[in-house]
Order: sequence, then C-alpha cells, then structure tokens
Amino acid sequence: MPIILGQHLYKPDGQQQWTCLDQSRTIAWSAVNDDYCDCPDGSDEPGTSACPGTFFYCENKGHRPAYIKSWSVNDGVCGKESCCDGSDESNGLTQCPNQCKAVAAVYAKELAEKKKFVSEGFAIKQRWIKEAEEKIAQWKLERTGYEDDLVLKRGLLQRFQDEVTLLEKEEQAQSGDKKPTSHHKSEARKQQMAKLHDHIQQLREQVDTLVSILHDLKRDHNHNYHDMAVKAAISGYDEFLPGYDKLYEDLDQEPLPEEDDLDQDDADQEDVPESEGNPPPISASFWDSVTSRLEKWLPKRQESQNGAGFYFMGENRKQRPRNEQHSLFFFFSLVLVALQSARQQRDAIQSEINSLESNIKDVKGKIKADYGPEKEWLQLKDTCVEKDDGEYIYSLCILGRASQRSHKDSSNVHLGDFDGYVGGEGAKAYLEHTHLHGTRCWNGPERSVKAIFECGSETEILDVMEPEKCEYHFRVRSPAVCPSPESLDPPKAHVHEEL
Amino acid sequence: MPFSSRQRIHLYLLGLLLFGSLASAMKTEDFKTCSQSGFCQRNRLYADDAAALGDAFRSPYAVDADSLHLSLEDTAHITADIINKNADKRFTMALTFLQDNTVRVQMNEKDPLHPRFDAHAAHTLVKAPVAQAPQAVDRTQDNQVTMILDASRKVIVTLEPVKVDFLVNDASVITLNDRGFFNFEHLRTKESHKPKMIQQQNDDGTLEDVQHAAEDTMWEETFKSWTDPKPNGPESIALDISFNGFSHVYGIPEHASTLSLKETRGGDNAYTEPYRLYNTDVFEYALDSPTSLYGAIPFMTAHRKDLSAGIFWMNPSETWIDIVKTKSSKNSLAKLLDFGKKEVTTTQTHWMSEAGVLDLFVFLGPTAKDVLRQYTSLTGTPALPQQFAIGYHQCRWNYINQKDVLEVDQKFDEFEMPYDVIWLDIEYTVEKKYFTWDNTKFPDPIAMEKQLDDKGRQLVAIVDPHIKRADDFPVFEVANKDHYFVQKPTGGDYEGWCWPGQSSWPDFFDPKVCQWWQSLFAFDKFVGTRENVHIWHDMNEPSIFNGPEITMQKEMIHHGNWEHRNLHNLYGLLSFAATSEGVRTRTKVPKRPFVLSRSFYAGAQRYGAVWTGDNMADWDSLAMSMPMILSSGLGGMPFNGADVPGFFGNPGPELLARWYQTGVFQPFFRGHAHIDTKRREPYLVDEPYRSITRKALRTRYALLPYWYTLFYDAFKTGTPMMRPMFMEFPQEEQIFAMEDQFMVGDSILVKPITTEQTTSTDVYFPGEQPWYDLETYQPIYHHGYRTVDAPLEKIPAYYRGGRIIPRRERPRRSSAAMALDPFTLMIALDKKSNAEGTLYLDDGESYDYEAGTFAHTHFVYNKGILTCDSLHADGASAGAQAFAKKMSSVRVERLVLMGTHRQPNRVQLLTKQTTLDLAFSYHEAVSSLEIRDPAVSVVECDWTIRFDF
Repeated sequence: MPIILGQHLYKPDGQQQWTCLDQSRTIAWSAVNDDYCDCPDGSDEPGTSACPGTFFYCENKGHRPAYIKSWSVNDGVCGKESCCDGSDESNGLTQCPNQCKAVAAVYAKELAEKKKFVSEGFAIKQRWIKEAEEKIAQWKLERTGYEDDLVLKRGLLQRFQDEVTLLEKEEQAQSGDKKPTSHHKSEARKQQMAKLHDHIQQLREQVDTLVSILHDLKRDHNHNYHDMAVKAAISGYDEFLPGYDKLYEDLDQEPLPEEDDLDQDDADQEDVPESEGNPPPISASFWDSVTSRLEKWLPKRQESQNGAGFYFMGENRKQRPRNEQHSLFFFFSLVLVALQSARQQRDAIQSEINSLESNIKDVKGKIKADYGPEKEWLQLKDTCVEKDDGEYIYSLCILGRASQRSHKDSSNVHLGDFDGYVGGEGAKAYLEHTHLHGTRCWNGPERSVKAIFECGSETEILDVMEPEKCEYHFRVRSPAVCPSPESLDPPKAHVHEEL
Repeated sequence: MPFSSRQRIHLYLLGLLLFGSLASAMKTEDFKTCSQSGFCQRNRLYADDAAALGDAFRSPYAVDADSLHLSLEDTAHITADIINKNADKRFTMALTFLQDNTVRVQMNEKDPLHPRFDAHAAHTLVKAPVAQAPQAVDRTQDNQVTMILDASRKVIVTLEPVKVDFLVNDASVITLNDRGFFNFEHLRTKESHKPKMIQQQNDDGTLEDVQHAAEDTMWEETFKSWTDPKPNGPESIALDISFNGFSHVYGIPEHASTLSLKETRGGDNAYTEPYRLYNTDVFEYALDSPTSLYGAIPFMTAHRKDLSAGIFWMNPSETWIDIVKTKSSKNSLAKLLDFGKKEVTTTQTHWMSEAGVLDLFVFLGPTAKDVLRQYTSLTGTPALPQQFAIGYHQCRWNYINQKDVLEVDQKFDEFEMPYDVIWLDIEYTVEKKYFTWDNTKFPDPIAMEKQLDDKGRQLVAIVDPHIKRADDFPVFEVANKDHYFVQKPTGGDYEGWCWPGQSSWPDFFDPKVCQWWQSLFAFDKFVGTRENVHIWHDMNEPSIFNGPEITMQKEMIHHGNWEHRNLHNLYGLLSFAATSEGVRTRTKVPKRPFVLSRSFYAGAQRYGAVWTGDNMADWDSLAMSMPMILSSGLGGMPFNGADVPGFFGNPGPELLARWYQTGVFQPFFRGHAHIDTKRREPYLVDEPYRSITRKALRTRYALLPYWYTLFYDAFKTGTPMMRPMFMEFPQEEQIFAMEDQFMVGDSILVKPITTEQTTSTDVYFPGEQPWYDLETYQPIYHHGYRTVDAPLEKIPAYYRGGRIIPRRERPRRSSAAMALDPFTLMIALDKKSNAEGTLYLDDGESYDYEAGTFAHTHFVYNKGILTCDSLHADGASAGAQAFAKKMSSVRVERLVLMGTHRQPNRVQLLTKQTTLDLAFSYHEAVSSLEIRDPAVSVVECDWTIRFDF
C-alpha cells in the first residue's frame, strides 16, 4: 500500500474495519486499496484507479510528493502526468523508471530561473505601480485646474450670450424686406439640389450595376470551386443586400424634394418675418443705448475689421442719421456688425468651454479607467510590442490596438482595439485582454485578439495563434502580471496541474 | 420591355425571399437528373413505352432454347443465348448456383464490336464464388427450365420472353424482367445505327416520322458546359427486378434518404427521380433526396415478416434505380401462388447502368443477417479495426500547428474526457502537396507524434488522391514521368482543379500505380510519420472542382484503355484499397491499417471506415445520421459515422450535447468542424453541457469491450454493429421502416434525441423480453411504444433482457489505457432469468489473431449459475495460450444482475481450489443485484458463480 498523505486517516478500527471519509459506510479494512471502489466518495482507494475522480498520492522520493488523478494510475503512461517515481504504474502495462532525481534537478533549475524573472518582473511592476500613482495624482491636479477655468469661462459665456440675445431681438425687430437675395438663394439651392439629385441617381445606378454583377456571380459561380475570394464576395453581398434595400425603402418613403417644393419652402419662409409697410421708427433713446453698447467693444475690432459702418461709428457716434431711410439702413448695418461680433465672441468662449469640458472628460476617464488592482497596467498603456512569425508581423499595443502586417505586401490589418479584461475571477482577472472589432474577415467575423499574459521580466509577445478564423491568441509576457516572488515557495504536496 | 436596374434588383430580392432558405444549400442544378443523363432517360422511356402498351407489350428478349446448356455437376451453371428479336442481336446468359442460397446471373453481348468492361469483379469480389450444384433440374414444362436448389428453394427460367423467378416455398420472391424492362444496348457504330423512328402528329393533323426521343443522347450528350463525346455510343444495361410480396427495400447507399427506400416515380411521399449511384462530392447535400453522394453500393435487401432477400447489381458505372410499390402484384406467378386473401404489396425496381456487363447476385436469405453474410462472403467482411479506431476521434479543419495539436490533447486530459485520435486536415501540408509537412507550423512532427504515443494516442493525417502539378514536388514528378495519371482521350495527363490548384489523379486501375502509391506511405517516404500515424483519404470520388458534377469527365482514359465511365464508382474503392494497403505494409510486420475514406463502392468494407461526408450542424442532419449509417450497414459497409456535431455551421450547446450522445452509439465516432466555424472541442462548451458530453464520451469508452466484440462479429459474419430494428425483430411489421431508434448489436436499444428542447420521447420496445435502462437498470416490461423521460443528460438506451454485456467502468484518457482494466458484466435477465453474451479480446492492433492470439468468451447465466466457456476454435494453440497469459491479471470486478426480484441468500464463487462467499448489494427499487469483485478471469473459464435465492 503506497504511503498516503494524511495517513492518520487510514487506520483500521478495533474490528479491523474502516469508515469512509464521508462517514457514509464502514467497510472491512481489507477493502481499503483493494482495487474495488466501496466508498461513495471514493476515499477507500487512494492507491488504485478503482474510484474515478479521486487522487493518487506519489511519494516521489528525491523530488516532491504529488497527487495525480486516479485515472492516470495503471494507464500505461509515464511522464509529466504520472508520478516521477513510477509508483502509479504497477500492473505490468508499462514500467516507469524512477526519474525523480532528474525531475527534481530540472525542477530546481526551472524554479531558480522562474524566481529570477519573477523577482525582476515584480520589481518592475512595483516601479510601474509607483509611477502610475504619481501620474494619476498629476491627472487629478490637471482636472482641478480645468474645472476652475471652466467656472470662469462659463461666467464670460453668460455675458456674451446676453449680449447676443439682445442684439438678435433688435435685429429681428428692424428687419424689413431683408431678403433681397432670397430668390437667388432659392435658385442656387434648387440648382444644388438638382445636382445632388443627379449625383445620387448616378450613384444609385452604379451601385445597382454592381449589385446585379454580384447577383450574377452568386447565381452562376461554381460553388464547388471553393474559391475563398468568391465565397467572401458572395457572403459580403448577402450581408449587404438587406441593408441596401432597407436604405432604398427609407429613401423612397421620403422622396427628394422636387423643385416646386423648394420654391414653396422659400415662400413659406418669406411669409413669416415679412410685415406689411415700413418698419417702425427708431427712438432716440434706443439709438443711444445701442451705440453705447457697441462702443465697448467696437474700437478693438476696428483694427482688424475694416467695415464701412465702423468708420462712422468713431466720428459721429452722437449724431443722429440725417433722414429716416438712410439712418435706418445705417443703423441696421451697425446692429448686424455688432451681432456678428458678439456671436463670434460667444462662440470662441463656447469652444474654449467645450475643449475644457472634453479635457475634463478625458482626464476623468483616464483617472477612472481600470488599470488593474494596483494600476500596474497604466505605465504599459500604448506600449507596443511586435512578433514576427515569418509570414506576418503582429503588433500589440497594450490597452490599445492590435494589428498585423504582412511580409508579402506590407499591408496592415487592424485586429482589434482593447475592449476589456477577461481573465476570470480574482487575481486572474487581468491575465487576459480582449481586443475587438478589427477589420472584418473575408467570409468571416470581425477580427479579434485575446492576449494572454504571463509573468516575464520584460513585455514581449511569445507566440501568436489563430485557433479559429480571424480570432487570434497572443501569448504575452509582461512584468505587469508578475506575482510576488514569495508566492513561488512550494506547498508540501501538489496536485499536478497546478505545478 | 427591359427591366431597369432597380426593377431587376427587386426581382432578385423577390427571388431571395422565395428561395432564401436554399441560399446556402445544395446546388441541385450542378447534378444531373435522370432526364439529363442520356441512358437513364432512354431506359425510363423504354419502361414508359412498355407500360403504355400494357398487356400488348412483349419483351423482345428470349432464350434460344437450342443454345441452352446445363453443366450442373461440375461448375453448377447453365448458359444460354438470348436473342433480342428487335435488333437481331445475340447475348450470352449464365446462371451460376452458389453456396449459401446465392445465385449469380451474368449477361453479355455474344460478339461485341469490342470487349465490354467486366474487369471490375477482381476488385470487388474477395474470392471466386464457390459453386454448389442444384439438387435437380426439371425441363418438363415447355417454356421454362426449373432448377431445384433444395427442399424450399427453386429457380425458374422462362424462355420467352426471358424471365427468371427465384422461389422460396414455391412462391416467387424475386423476379428478373418481370415487367420486361430488360434492355441491353449492344455496341454499334454510328454509321450502322438505324435511329428508332416514331410517328408524330403535327399541328395540322399530318403524320410525320421523327426520331424517338431516346435517339437524342445516343452519340453525344451535353450537360451544362460539358459535352461527353461518347465515342462508343449507347452501351447501357437495364433490368427490372420485382420483390414479390415485399413492401420494404433497403440499402443501395449512399443517399440522404429514409431507411426504407421510397418510391421514385411520384405520388405521396415519393420522389420523382430514381435513386442514383454516381460518386460525387455534393456541397451541403440536401436531406431526404435520392441524389447520389460520395459512395455507391448497388446492393439492395428486401424484407418481409418471414423472409429477407437481396440483390447485388455488380456494376461500377453510373447507375439509377427506380422503385415503385404496387398493391396486389401484377406478377402472375404471385397471383397464381397466392399470398392469402389479403392485399399484397410488391416492390418493383428498375436498375439502369451506363456501361459494362450485367452481373448480378441474388441472395435468398432467409434472414437479413443471412443476406449480409451471403453478400460479404463475396465482397469481403468488414476489416477488424485496431482498438483505437472505435474510440473517439477529434478532428478539425484545421489544427493549425504542432502546439495547437498538443494543447488540444492536453485539454482532453485536463477535462478528463477520453479520446484516442487527433486529426490533421489539409493545412498541415506545404501547399496541399500530400506527403509533405509545413515545417513552419509543424517543425517536428515526429516529436509531436511521440508525445501522443506516450499517452497511447494516435494521429491521423490526410492524404487525398489529387496530386498538385508542381515541378518541385517529387510525388508529382514521378507520376508525371512514369505516366501514372489518368489520361486524356487525346493523350497526356488529365488535369483538373482541386485544393492544391491544378492537379492530376493517379490511375488506381493500374496495378503498378497502386504499387507506387502504396510505397509512398513508407516511413522513409512519408517523412514525419511513425507507427501511430494513420491516414484519412478524402476527395476520392474523385472530387474535381471544375469537372462536370464536380468529378471527372467520363471520356478520360484508364489503364487498359478503359473509359472512366466504365468504372467511375470503383475509383474511390481503388484509391481506398491502395492507401489502406500502403499503411498496412509500411511496417515489417504488418499492422491493421486505419484509413478513413469518403468515397466507397461494394467491397470498401475490407479497407477501413467511411463517414457521411460534409453534413450540417443542425437537428435534421443529426436525425439523418441514423438512416444513413443504417443503410450503409445494410450495404455491407457498417464502419460509418457522421461528423459530430455537424461539419458546416456552429451548433448550439444543446445540439452539440445531443449529437455526442448519439455518436456514442454509432460505429465511427469523430468530432469534426469546418474551418469557418468556432472551436467546439467538447471541453469548450459551458456547463451543464460539458459534463453531459463528458458522460457521453465515457459511456462510449465503458462500452468499448462490447463494441469491439461487435466489430469482431461483423468481421466474421458481415452483421453490422449498428442495426435497424427489423434486423433483430424481423416479425414486427410496425418497425420495418423505423429509423429513429436502432440496435447496437443484439443487446442494446438506443433512441437518440434529435429534436430541440426535448424532455421525453416515445420508445418502441419490441419483443417479449424485458428491457433495462442503461443507467438506472430500471426494468421495462412492456411491448410497444412507451413514453420515457429524456432530459438533456439522458440518452434513452436499454439493455435487452436475456443478454450479458461486458463493460469497463474506469474512466481513462484513451482506449490503450484501458488494456488491463477489470470488467463489469451486465447481466440483463430474460423472463426465465437467463442471459448470455460474448466478449472478444485481442491485442487490438496486430494480425496475431490470425494465429489464434485472442480470447473469445461466452458467458451464460442459467438457473442461478454464471459460467463461461471459450468460443476459441483452438484454445490450446500457442497463440491462445500466450494471450491468456497476457490477460491473466485481468478480472471481472463486478457483476450486475438486472431483473432479479429477490435478494439471494448467498452468492458463491466456486473454483477447483476454493469456494468463496461474495459480497453483494441488492437494490430493490430497480430489482438489481451488484456482486462485489468476484475477481474471475474473462479468458480462463475455470470458475462458477452460484446464486442461492
């Protein structure tokens, strides 16, 4: 009977009987390890293959004790999944020599190597973690700066907006028959629309021609020819067609406006603002208020903008226009200029605000993003590594884009952008990265990458596989996933898979 | 008015709506209908003309009574001339009476313009048939000759018009030329040919002589863009064969059709096209169709309650078979002899072949198993495969490199799923040049194979028959230089398009080409292979992407100047045979080869396994796997299986699990997947599907001893491992067409679930004996249909009462790992509490069994006593003794008695030396008794186990 870990559990009682470890049955002591499974939990046969789903204990003198699956006992297989002392093969199917000494030597060497690179990698990872913290602290400062600025700019915006609102009101009140160009405009639009219409028609016809070519290809090709390019074209066509037809349905339901419609549109527009007769006269008090408001900013603008209207402004600001007709036109011009200017001012501030907001969003995003439990991935973000497999050069930018470059034609194919961590639960959660939505394959799905990380002293792609069409697996080494070197200290015995 | 482009597109869309479901299905227009195949059309017209004339029709063929020659004592055959009175042509007829209720009928032209092709027999028949003279001949009747074979069987030849009846108990069961469709197109020159003219009434009422429609295809015929020049003109052979009083006929694989063949001339649930036998690579083949597929076996069995009988139409040219069923047969003899008052169905068949000679065998059973024995004694029994070949195979197009292969291998271990063989599809080669390895993907194949071997596992690599025309490819260079390829009629290598691009095809009809091909499998030729590498031989119909019907033009030339049309269906058999022989002889001491072929013909069972080709991952294809494999078994080719869980498309987890559960009970069990599909190795599915699939795989492995015994039985008798219900229960008419449940051997009934979201099913329990649930041992005492639970984890499968089934219960990584594992004997008691069963064991790989190195044990449980005896003919031989010694440590670790209603008082093991009480436990709820570790041998029957109830 082989030696069993927890041997104290395997002792007969006074009646030479023994109770299964789950306490479900008591059996004769002679039935323990007699190559017949008596206990429902399989605990009576730790030294045979009789109970499925249990483990066999290898003493492995000269190396480390181990448990192997009971299905490996007496199955004629030596080697990695068996005991290095050969104790699991005893029925004559095969004889496994005791290789524990050699295995122990290899194991010691590998362990030493592993310890070395794990230590190195772990040190790098610690540095990265520190750097990441600093970087994030810096981002937080940046964010505060942006936010303060934003408050300021929003105040300004409000002021300019008020200005614009007032001027717009006045402009609206004063506009009389201000649409001398409306007829020309509508003519131009008509022409433009017609041109576009023609262009669309032309494109439609061209697409229809292509669709009918593809239809013929699909109908007439020899599918047994297994030409991947043809298959790809056909499947592309099949995918394209429903969407294309839908597009047409939508377009056909909303027909392009005809010329009459255009005229009508313009006429409608003209109807609304146009009032009968002359505009109302301008009062003196209003004039004063406008000019005074304009004064505040008009001088600044004179240098850069050379409008005729501005000329009068400086010299004759207190003068009232000589006759109503003339003065009305002049005034209207002034209002327009002021409005334009105020709008520009407002828009400039708005765009500054927008860019601040986007900066804040960006930096918030960066701060909030998941860089791993200790933010160890941050320093690696957008670090790109490459692997040349002879046919292609694969490139992986960590938390970024993966791509593939062909040696043959140096074409570059997008394999996917970082989408998330899919390693699993707990510590394993960050060991696998997916990159999705790469360029669609011929006759296949969008390309995607699963990058599977293991500890190493530097970041590098070990190998690339394409286990199914357009789904790439990158095996990658990086300090980012190195465990603490202490974790390598072995437990007393181990189940084989976890070596 | 021409359509605008927009209108055209709308028409296309309409078309897509109407035919959308067919968009990815078989392109039927790529394959001929009968009317597009000249000789089929001509012979159907012949039959239609005859039928139109009714009683006025008289076959022009008659036996020349003067030429009748009987030489029954020595060669047991009669010969005679047959005259076609319409054409004034003479034919020879020979009837040869053979052992085991078999008769051969041969007809040929008497003085043909040039010889007609009959050289295929040597490739089809395993040995010369053994003659057996009739007991007596009766020539007293005027227009007929009667041969009395034995007390119950007779053959009657009617002279004019010629007709041959095969009688059992004085009733004709098979009639040749019953309806007079016999038509032998003699060879002729175009110049001498007088076209058949018929009168046609024109629109204006005038009469005009025009050529009969049959004349259209005599000298040339065009299909799509191909024109067959037909230098020999018409040369077809057709004959109608009636199975009198039979309403079911089976066999003639390979079709995706029903087990009980359908009628083919229209009507309810009938096809309008004949069943076709013409080996072709049909892309995404249609289900429920008589169209031809990859294999062709012109062997049909008819079955009725009291009798089975069969026909083997030995002709490897394109063949079509029409089937109609008539109530109250017109067959006068049948009427005369009367089947009783009730209406009788007769199945009438019409066989049409494009070329060659008429050479057919009639098998008179009397059981379906007898018919298969009779057929396989001529064409050979299924080869006994190596043990691993009946384990689970894991394939994919493609495992992409060495690392991939070893990772998949490792994953099976990790998830504790057993498997025996991992496969490499075409991508392992350099540019599809077979016998080469792409070393960037497979830097060290030998090391990879060694690693698999260390775990007792095998590798299968594909080698197809198309040879890439590339100057840097030695296989091509030799074949090209030595003219090993099929030739064009104008001379020079035939060329076509296949996976590697421009390719040529070895002429396997040439013995020296076969020799050369065999030599290519030597380990020093196919570098990178070792003993645990076996071969997959695909695309051997031959599949030619740019050929008519995706195959070779019929006018191409084989060795001996024979046109391809003569032997098309034989090509796959020949390349299969050469490949198998190459693998067999690559070691100094030959080992049983494993070769999987896609194409096959009669006799292919001698060379290995086949599969049902490129099926779809859908429920209907899963259901279709059953009639297809059953039909194949009835064609003498039982080592067949369907790709699990369907080749094209991505199966859902439920379909995957259900397909594995089905595959467990089918002879060839291989997972396979198209290159465009997602990975779907069984460990990849989520729970609970993974555990369900694991359980299914383990069920297969637990039953391997039973399976292996069944393969041995097939090897000995030709009885298929997977059997239609009627084969085991020939009296129960309601199951004659049953194809959704079947028997594995004679002891296990299986009703796989082949529909989605199913939780129960109706199982038909035949016979008078109880059945026992395979998992729970729950007895079922019921005859007829019963609804049983079938949740996802359950495969409705039952042991037959009265049988003993050997199992090995320990889960293992591979079959090799089980070699010395103990057995469990499942003893399923019949109503009288008796049971028996057998176990065959050998080394699982060599031919040593030929020298007696095996054990064949018969277990009997009778009146509370379990004993065994050896079925070995020479148990004392050195081989038997050596094997017994090897197995001396192998024991029976458990007995399970099912259907015992009492707990025994004691169970004792009695040997010469000792008497020992055995521990047992009784499970009252299911009436089963488990005996703990009797530790008796399965080889040495020196023990008795006594049950005292």
